[in-house]
Amino acid sequence: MENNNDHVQNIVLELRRGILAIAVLSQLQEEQYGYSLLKSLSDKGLEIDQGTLYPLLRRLETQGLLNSTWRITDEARPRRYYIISIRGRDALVQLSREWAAITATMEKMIVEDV
Amino acid sequence: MNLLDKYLLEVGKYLPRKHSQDIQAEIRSTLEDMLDDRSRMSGKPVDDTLLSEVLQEYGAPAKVAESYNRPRYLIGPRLYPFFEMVVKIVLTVLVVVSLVGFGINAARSGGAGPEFLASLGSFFAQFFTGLISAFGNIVLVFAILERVLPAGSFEEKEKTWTPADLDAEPDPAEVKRSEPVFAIIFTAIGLVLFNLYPDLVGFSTIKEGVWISVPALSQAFFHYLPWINLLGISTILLEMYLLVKGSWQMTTRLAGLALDIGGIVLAVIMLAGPSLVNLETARMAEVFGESADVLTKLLNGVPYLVLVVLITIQSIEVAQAIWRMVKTPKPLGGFLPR
Repeated sequence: MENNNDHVQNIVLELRRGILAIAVLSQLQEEQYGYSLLKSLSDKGLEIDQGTLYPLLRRLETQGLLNSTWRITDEARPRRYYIISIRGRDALVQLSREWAAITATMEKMIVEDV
Repeated sequence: MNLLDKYLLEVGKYLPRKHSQDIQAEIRSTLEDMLDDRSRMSGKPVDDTLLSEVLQEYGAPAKVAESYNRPRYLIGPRLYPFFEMVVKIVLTVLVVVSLVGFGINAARSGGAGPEFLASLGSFFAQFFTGLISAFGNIVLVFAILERVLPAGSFEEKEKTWTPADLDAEPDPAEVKRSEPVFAIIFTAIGLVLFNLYPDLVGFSTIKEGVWISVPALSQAFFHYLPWINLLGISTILLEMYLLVKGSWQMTTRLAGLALDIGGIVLAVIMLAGPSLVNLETARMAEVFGESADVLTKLLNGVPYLVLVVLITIQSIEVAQAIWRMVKTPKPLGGFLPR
């Protein structure tokens, strides 16, 4: 039984890893810094480790889907703010369609066959 | 230097140099936000105790840095197939060269006694040293290539496959015409040489206008000649049958196997028996002068080396033939219910 739980947990981790990029892009239509994004995703029910989020933000920026800029805030603290780019918006539209198609397919499979 | 600075310095040691400062700045900003948040929620002041809790939660420096690093390979997946191929080729060459070297040394020592043991010990020592050295050098070269070759080089392009390719795949039972032809020619040459012109197997030279030849084969060899002839003629007949038929069948595979096993048995008997070579020292001195002695000792070891190699290769072939016969899949029709 323990082994089965481990396998299930691994699959759940893979499922969550698969949706992170879409989740992050969807939340950066308004400018946010890393920690605020972390809290925003957590408030909406998606817990994500900072060790996962920050490298993901860098990767998306390298791919041209996000833009970032350093700004000094009111508390005189420099923060890096991220926002979705034009390419990122196009990608999000495509990813949203893909997501809708996948969830519709999975709904059919799970409801009909399980 | 405060605790936060020490933490960031430690993380920085493991980060890629190019983005290290930028990443450290971002981590500092995040940790400061986490501290403010934690202080607000818990009512605790922002001090080293709270900072220690936050750092503990954030994670060990090496682990934090790991998430920013791409996986690093000594030899990555794109070069690994070539590395494997080169290692196999080099190690095979190393084994062959070492065996030849050992054979020559063993022949010089007469095949027995303390000198032979010394050459055996030297063989193993040199072989293993050479093996480790060769492997280390290959790893070093490929590790350098992994780091200097541009991305995209050596990546395997996927071949387009179509069902028509199935026809092109070789039939394991098919006999290529050239194979029995070569086998017949070389076996016939061997039989003619050993039976009709055995004196030609040796050394010949012209000295002061006179032809001097030193036959190599000993009387012991000629005791085995009837068996060599039997195996040779049987081989020629089998190869002629295969040339006509064009494919292997169970009967011909069994016949081939029997001939291979017969060859191995004969080779083992010859190896254990008296020397197959008998080079007359006086005649060798006429041909080779001062180096005749050393050369004679060297050449006396050659038949043993040849027989050992022959036995090894034929044993492998026999094992492969048996494996093939055991593993050959039956046609699908044999399993379907009628």
